[in-house]
Amino acid sequence: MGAKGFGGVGFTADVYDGFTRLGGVQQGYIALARNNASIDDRKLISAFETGREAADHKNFADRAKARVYKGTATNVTGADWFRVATARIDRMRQIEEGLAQTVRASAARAAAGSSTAALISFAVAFGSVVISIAIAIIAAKNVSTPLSSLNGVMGKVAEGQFGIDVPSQSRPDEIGDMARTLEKFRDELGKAVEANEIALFKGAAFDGSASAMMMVDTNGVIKFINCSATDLFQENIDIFREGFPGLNTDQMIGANADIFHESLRGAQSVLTEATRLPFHTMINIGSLRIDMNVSGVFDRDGAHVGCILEWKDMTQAIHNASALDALDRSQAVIEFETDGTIIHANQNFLAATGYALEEIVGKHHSMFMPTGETDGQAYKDFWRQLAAGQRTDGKFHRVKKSGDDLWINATYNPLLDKDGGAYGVLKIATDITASEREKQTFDKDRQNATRILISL
Amino acid sequence: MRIIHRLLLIAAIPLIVLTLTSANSIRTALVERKAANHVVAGVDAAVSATALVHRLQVERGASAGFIGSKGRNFGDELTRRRQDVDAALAVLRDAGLLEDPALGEATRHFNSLDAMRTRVDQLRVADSEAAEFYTSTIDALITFARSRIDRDASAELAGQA
Repeated sequence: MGAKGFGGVGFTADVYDGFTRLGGVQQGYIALARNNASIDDRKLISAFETGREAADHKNFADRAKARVYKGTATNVTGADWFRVATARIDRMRQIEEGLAQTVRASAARAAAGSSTAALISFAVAFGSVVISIAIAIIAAKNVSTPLSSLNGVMGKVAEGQFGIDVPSQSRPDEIGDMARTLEKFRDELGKAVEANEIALFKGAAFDGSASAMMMVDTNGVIKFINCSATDLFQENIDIFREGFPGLNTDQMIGANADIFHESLRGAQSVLTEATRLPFHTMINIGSLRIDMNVSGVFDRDGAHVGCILEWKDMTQAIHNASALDALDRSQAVIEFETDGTIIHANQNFLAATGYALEEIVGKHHSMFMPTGETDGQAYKDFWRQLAAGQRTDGKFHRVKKSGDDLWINATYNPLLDKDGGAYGVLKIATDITASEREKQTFDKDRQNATRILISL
Repeated sequence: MRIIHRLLLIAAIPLIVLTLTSANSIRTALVERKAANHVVAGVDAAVSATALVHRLQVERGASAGFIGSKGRNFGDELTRRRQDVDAALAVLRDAGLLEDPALGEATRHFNSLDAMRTRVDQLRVADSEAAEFYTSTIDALITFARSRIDRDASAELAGQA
């Protein structure tokens, strides 16, 4: 509040109204400040309103009012009024400065707090992002790297590299499970491939075998027939059709072995009974004598999955065996290596020579030769020609164990393989010693008679 | 898409959310700091204005005393109080507040202050006219101080919104 009206002149109503209007504005702002102030600041404002400066100002204002409105304003000079009003103004200014300083400090704290919050938010966010990215990359690599390795191993296994190591098996997580499963898969696949290779070899051996074989499952259905079996059926188709009318060698795969029912009567039941395997029987189909062998086929777990039927045409062999038996019964037979080493001899030969079998096996043919006949070139050529596959027959002079002469009619037959090479010599002989002695006696008698007649 | 990329994508989504949330927090904190600075600036401006108000009140009283005493009293006091006003006015000028349009009528009175002082010194102005000159200047300054506080408070509220 100013000091208008002082200076020597008295207060008027206009002057007083001017003072009170301005004071009212100030009071309004003081009230506003009080309403917005903190508790401490309100105390400061209250202290101002009840302070000495305010009291002095009110006192002087009351005096001025009294003077204006017919009262008295004793002892109030312009200097006094100026001093009191200025003191109040200065006091108000101090309060304002205090309040402003409070606001400044509060705002500064808020700004500092905001800066700190922003910095902390940034630091937390940046750190979280960096750490999260690092963890994400590490975690992702921790998953993707072993998966890539396992994928590479799977590729190698697919290429047939069953010796390759499977990594990550020690991991306790799903990747470890996958690795352990992959190793098991690798082992099983390796075994399967190996089994398949073996099966291929066996299949090739089966297909290329000289034995006639067919494969049937446990239901008796023919699954496979090898070339030798096909040849056997085709070469003897007329004979087979006598027993199995309508047999078609081109339609046997998939047919049931029942088509051979009559001939396989003995073998039919064993096809489904693994406990009876292997099984062997001899069957007759027309003029054919077939040696039938049935063996089981089992998988890796030991389950019976089928049978192999081996058809062995024994017709010729039986015929040959019969002939050999007849020969063995009537002739002296001995078998040699191509160099003359004795392998075997039959009873007739042993009886003719007087030896036991164990006395001659492993020894040379020369043991039967007369003294002096084995040293010459002729004896060597004899065995050389036999080894070359040339048959020799005729009458031969040999020596028994007793030292007596042994005369035989013999045939030395080289035993030839498929290529024509000799692998042995079979000698078939007839003892003609008695007739040879009679002949020699007759010749000697005839010569004596001739000499007598000439001398007469 | 490879597994590593999928995993990184899964991790990226919450990271993006975290980043956006943090960015919003940082923005809010910076706005609050700016608002606090606005408050300080407003308070400084208001304090500077009210300081000038107080000085002008004192100069008004001294001028009234000088005019009322026909120049016999308050001469030295008036000179000293005018210096206080000039110092307070310089603070306002240095703070750039004299260019603030909110000062309005006060600016014109500042420009006429020297002329009014000359008329007071020469006793060629009625005490009521001089008092009215200072009072209207003071009213304009008070209005300006209040508007600055209100404006900065509004800016703070707007910044926090």
